[in-house]
Amino acid sequence: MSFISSRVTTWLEHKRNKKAVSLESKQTGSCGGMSSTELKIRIELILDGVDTRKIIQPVTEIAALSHSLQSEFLIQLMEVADLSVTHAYSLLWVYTPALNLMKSIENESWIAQIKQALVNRELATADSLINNYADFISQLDTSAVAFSEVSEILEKLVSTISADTLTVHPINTAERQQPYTDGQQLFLPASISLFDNYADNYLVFKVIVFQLLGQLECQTGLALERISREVLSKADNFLKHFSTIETLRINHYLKQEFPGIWNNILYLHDKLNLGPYPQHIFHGHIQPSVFDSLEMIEHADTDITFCEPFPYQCNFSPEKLLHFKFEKQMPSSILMNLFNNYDDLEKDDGDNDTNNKKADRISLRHSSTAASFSNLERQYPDIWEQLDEVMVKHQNEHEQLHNENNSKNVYLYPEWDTSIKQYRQDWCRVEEIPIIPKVNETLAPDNLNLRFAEYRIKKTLDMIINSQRLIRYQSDGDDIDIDAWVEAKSNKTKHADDFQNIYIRNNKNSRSIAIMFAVDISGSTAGWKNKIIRQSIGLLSRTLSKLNDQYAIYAFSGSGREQCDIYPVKRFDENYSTTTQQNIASLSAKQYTRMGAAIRHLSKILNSNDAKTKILFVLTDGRPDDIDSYRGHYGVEDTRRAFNEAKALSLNPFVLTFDRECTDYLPHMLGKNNYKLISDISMLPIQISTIYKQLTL
Amino acid sequence: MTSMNKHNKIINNSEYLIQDEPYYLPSSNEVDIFNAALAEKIPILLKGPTGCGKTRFMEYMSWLHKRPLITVSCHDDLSTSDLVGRYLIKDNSTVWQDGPLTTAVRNGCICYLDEIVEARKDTTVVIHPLCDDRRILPLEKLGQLIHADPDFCLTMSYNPGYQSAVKDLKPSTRQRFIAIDFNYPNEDIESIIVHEESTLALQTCKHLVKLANMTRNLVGNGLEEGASTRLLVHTAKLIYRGFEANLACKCGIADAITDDQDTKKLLHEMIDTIF
Repeated sequence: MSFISSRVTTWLEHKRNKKAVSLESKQTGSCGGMSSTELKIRIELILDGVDTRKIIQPVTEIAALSHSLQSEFLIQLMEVADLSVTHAYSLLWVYTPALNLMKSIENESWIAQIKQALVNRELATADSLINNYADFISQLDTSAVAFSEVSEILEKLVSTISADTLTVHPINTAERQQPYTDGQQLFLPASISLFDNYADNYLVFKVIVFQLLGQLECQTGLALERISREVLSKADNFLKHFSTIETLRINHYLKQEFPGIWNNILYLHDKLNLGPYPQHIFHGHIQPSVFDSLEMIEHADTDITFCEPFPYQCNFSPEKLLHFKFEKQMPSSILMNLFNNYDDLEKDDGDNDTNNKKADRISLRHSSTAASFSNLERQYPDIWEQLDEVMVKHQNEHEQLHNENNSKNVYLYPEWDTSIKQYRQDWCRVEEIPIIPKVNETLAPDNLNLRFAEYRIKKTLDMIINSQRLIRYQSDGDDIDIDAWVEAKSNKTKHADDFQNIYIRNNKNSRSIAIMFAVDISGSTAGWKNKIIRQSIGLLSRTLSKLNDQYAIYAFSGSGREQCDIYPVKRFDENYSTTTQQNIASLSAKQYTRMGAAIRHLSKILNSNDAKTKILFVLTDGRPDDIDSYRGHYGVEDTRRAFNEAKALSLNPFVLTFDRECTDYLPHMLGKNNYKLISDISMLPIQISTIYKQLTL
Repeated sequence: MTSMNKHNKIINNSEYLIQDEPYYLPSSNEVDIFNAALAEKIPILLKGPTGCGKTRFMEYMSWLHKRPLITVSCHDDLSTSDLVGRYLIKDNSTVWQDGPLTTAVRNGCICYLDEIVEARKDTTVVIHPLCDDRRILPLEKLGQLIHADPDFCLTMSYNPGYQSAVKDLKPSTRQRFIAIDFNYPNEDIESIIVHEESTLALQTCKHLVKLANMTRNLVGNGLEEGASTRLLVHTAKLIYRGFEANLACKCGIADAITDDQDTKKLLHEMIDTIF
């Protein structure tokens, strides 16, 4: 994420400088995606003089991508255009179809090869790479494991082990660094293709993660000062030796604590022919400290002569360890300033009195320790004052925005961006908009079919009501039905069997149910669908009012992430009334379906209800879809995430849909037992009550 | 026409007595607290996640004090009659049959209401007069008021981790008890428990406990509850029987605690890191 955003920022700055035009003001601000118009403008700026009327098709395809992918595309297009505008134009046409067939890491590699060919003036090769992208894909190594493929499971795995919240991030491929950690984040390779099979490459990923966790657990950073001194005096040789020994020490820890990972390490050593594992260096049950490693190196009592670092070896340089040691104590912005001039550190060794620099250019001496950091407040009051001012200003702005939103029934919700596997915080603006009842709209059943439907619904719901009564004349039960016994006794001579049914069963299925009907009123429901939905909801709410079940009805639609509208038809604390009837009658088809935000908001409302069983009943006619990139995989994944969040709150989501293609996405989104397809929408009124009975009995 | 069941008064205590010492390793001062409450005739509330040893603790205390233990597993349909007693028909008349609570009150047993929050709140109100200094049980249908035997002790347990607004105790019920908060024992004690229960090698038991703690970190993030000590014992028994540890964990832990494919995949990954 940080990698992409930094590149986007760079791009924006670059464009501003180049064209002296800011595009920010023209951003649509919609979900992750720029509109076609905005994309055309941006592409026109990159491909000077291109006729935008001729690029409608590729632009439309790119408009369907998420914001991060669009930004990535524009950066790549610009980089190629800097080398050859003609090739950039060709790239524009094939970009989306190629992207559909590639993983992000493969896409990066593809673009890198195109650029390399252009740099080398191999124009035919570049042409071939662009136009024959399918050939490029077929030649790709499928055994490689990309960070994006495994980041989610690795992060979850880490969360089960570490008490701290550790996140995983890819290392920028250009940096060519070993994996490292700053104590809060684990930085892993962008991809691993060490072996010719996927499983082994994944193993390397896993071992690296545990090496980094081991680095934290085994407290390598404790000897930071000594490591820094040794590195400066003995340079790379020491670091190479220390890294190897420290890796072995962490392996020793893993052997005791995570035998499965230890087995993986042995397997990797064996597979890579690294020779017999030097188990004699660290053995026994006592976990050695980092100082033991240093002692070993100092006294040269090891015979380790590994020329190459282990493939899973992490970065032990003092620069990284230092970052970790103080990360938790210092605000990151200050740290950035402190580390700005880290390179000067080695050059200015020993010069501790040259501190009178500007506040944002503090040099950090290699001998600096936590104690010297603690003096910073006294030495550089400017930093802290500035920081305080910025913080106060930011807090005030945030509070102001928050108050404004509160006064307008506005809520901000996150959204799951599956392309970066992270939530976009406060991404969707959900507003509860009261329904303005239309005059002369009624819900009265206007034909025989509807009256029949109402009869069926009543009958179904009557069964629920009846099920709560005491059931008499039972063969077994909680108590004797004295009346039945007396009756049986008086009839004894006629029907001896009557004595078998003299119990009363107290069928106290104490119903404590709250149901939230979330009704999709997107534009696709316009016309007769909307009419049937209104009639069904109307009939159901009229009959439901006879049960003690609490129910609420909210409709949802919207247009873009800034306009996710929720229309309260009936809240939990309202009784069924003429206002409810009018609200239902006034429901009309609106715009798009940004389902994730609606589900998050309605889950929140439903969760505040104290009923025993809480059901989130979604009535929709199709898959999630919004004007920006909220469609396809992106929309489905966000909605799936929202449903999972609802399940985590012990809510029971259920979807009733008219979409015949729902099997393509609903089983993945919600599980195979939690949705139902209605092929004949005219049956909705009856179906809805039948399902209601199934769900609540 | 109505008569008392002649077996109501005295039960065969030996049926309810725990003869052999159950294995129990205290993880804190719970035994002392229980002893004090018992001496003072104060009812006891055991709180803790499933499979952490609440019921085993009750068996142990019952054995320790040589008092019969009557256990009632509570559920949604548990009625007052199920606890107190009801009329049955015999020949041409009705006879009163004591419920487990009444039996315990009359005979000086320990009555253990397991998972009390599963019972409806109107049912649990019946225990109120037994849980204060009155120690009486009114039998409305019989028109009797039973004074509890001096040895009678009421204990109940529940799992506060369900986080459901309805599955909770009324304050008026809650405030009649001394509470003992159970949780999973610390790693060392839990390893010993699993080892003692299964006779599996202690080192392997330690790894099982480590795995269990990893699953417990997943609570609220895919799992409702992590692997319990009971599950660990089951798994350890599988391993002891010769099953490969990795497979035993998948059967005994991963598949037992979730049906969700993604969570199961993650649990399998966790198992692979340990075994």
